[in-house]
Amino acid sequence: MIIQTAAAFLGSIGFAIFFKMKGRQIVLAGIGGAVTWVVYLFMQHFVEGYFVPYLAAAIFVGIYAEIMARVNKAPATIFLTASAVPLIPGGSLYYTMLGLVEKNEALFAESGVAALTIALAISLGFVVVALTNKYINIFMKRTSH
Amino acid sequence: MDYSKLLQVILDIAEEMLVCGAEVSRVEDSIERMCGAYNCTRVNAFIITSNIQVTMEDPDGNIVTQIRRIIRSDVNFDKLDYLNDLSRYICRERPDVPIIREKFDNVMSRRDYPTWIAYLGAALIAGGFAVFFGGSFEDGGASAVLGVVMLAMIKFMSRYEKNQLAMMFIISFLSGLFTILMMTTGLGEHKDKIMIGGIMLLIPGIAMTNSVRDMLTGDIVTGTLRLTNSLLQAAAIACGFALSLMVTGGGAL
Repeated sequence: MIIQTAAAFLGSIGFAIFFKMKGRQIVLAGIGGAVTWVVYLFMQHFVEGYFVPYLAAAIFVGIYAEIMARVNKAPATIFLTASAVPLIPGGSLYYTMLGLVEKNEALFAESGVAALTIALAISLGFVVVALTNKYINIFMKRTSH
Repeated sequence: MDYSKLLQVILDIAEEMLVCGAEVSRVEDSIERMCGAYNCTRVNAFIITSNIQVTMEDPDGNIVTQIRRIIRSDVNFDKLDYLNDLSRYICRERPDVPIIREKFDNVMSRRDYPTWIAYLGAALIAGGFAVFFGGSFEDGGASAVLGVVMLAMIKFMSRYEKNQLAMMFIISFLSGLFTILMMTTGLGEHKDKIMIGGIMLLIPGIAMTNSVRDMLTGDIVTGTLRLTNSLLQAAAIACGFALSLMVTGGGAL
């Protein structure tokens, strides 16, 4: 688990570099990715299935990105994109494809449903944060630009 | 003031923001604020990922309309950060067009990373996620090599192949073959984990989730375009790797 979290940190840093972020923003993106995965692992202890843990982790990374945006005076999407990468169901996509190639319908169906469920959970998490942020801005009458 | 020149430079900024990876809603908002700062009224900005159109009425009562077609996509969050700052500065200070142009050129000429750092990033992504999805450290090392090879292919191919889908498919196919080649020479333990590391480099995961967010928050046209695009890309990647497994004996290795 520690290894996996460390891998999430490195992977997020890799994406931060890939998207040409600079300076300490790279480290902040890596920390975001690692903590997002910790949130997922933590939630997984209490909730069955993966929809709710992914949703919780997506909400966390959304909030993290908004806070980092305020702190660094940079667009939130920068941090959101690099730090949310550990949530992307790349493994599920691979096993969906493998199920198809090996004519293993059970693997195909299971992984395909997992990929879609995870994608939906992440999107929903982002929407929750986007909407909450909008209403906070309206009430605080602060301009978020 | 020449308002058509003003709108032109505003559109230059907006275009680069989109190219660098900004959300459509952010760019629309920036355009409306910048035009509004110069007392232009009836500002209408309509943006989808491949097109920007703006029409507005300048303070002299002339109606100015400009359209921009956007073909490139080159994510660069460093430039996006500075372009965002520039648009805020414009709203605050309302500088003349030549000053905007000068500051815009400054942002555009910000230095890129040297090439080796980009390769380091690719190695970190592929290697990191191979381990993340349950691979051994040896798999991580093999996947890091794969990541470097894939980035070299992306850089080479993007010069000749403008069709993103075809490029994704070909690169995925070759990456699959390269992974199996590495396995046969004894580098790496689990080909699935190594390939997953490579897939993470290509997969438009964030585009996919952002597209759903776009749709749910009202940008239905952009969301649909992005979702279709990213689903097709995911399919192209899966097909490429699948084909490489088929021609080498259906994952039996």
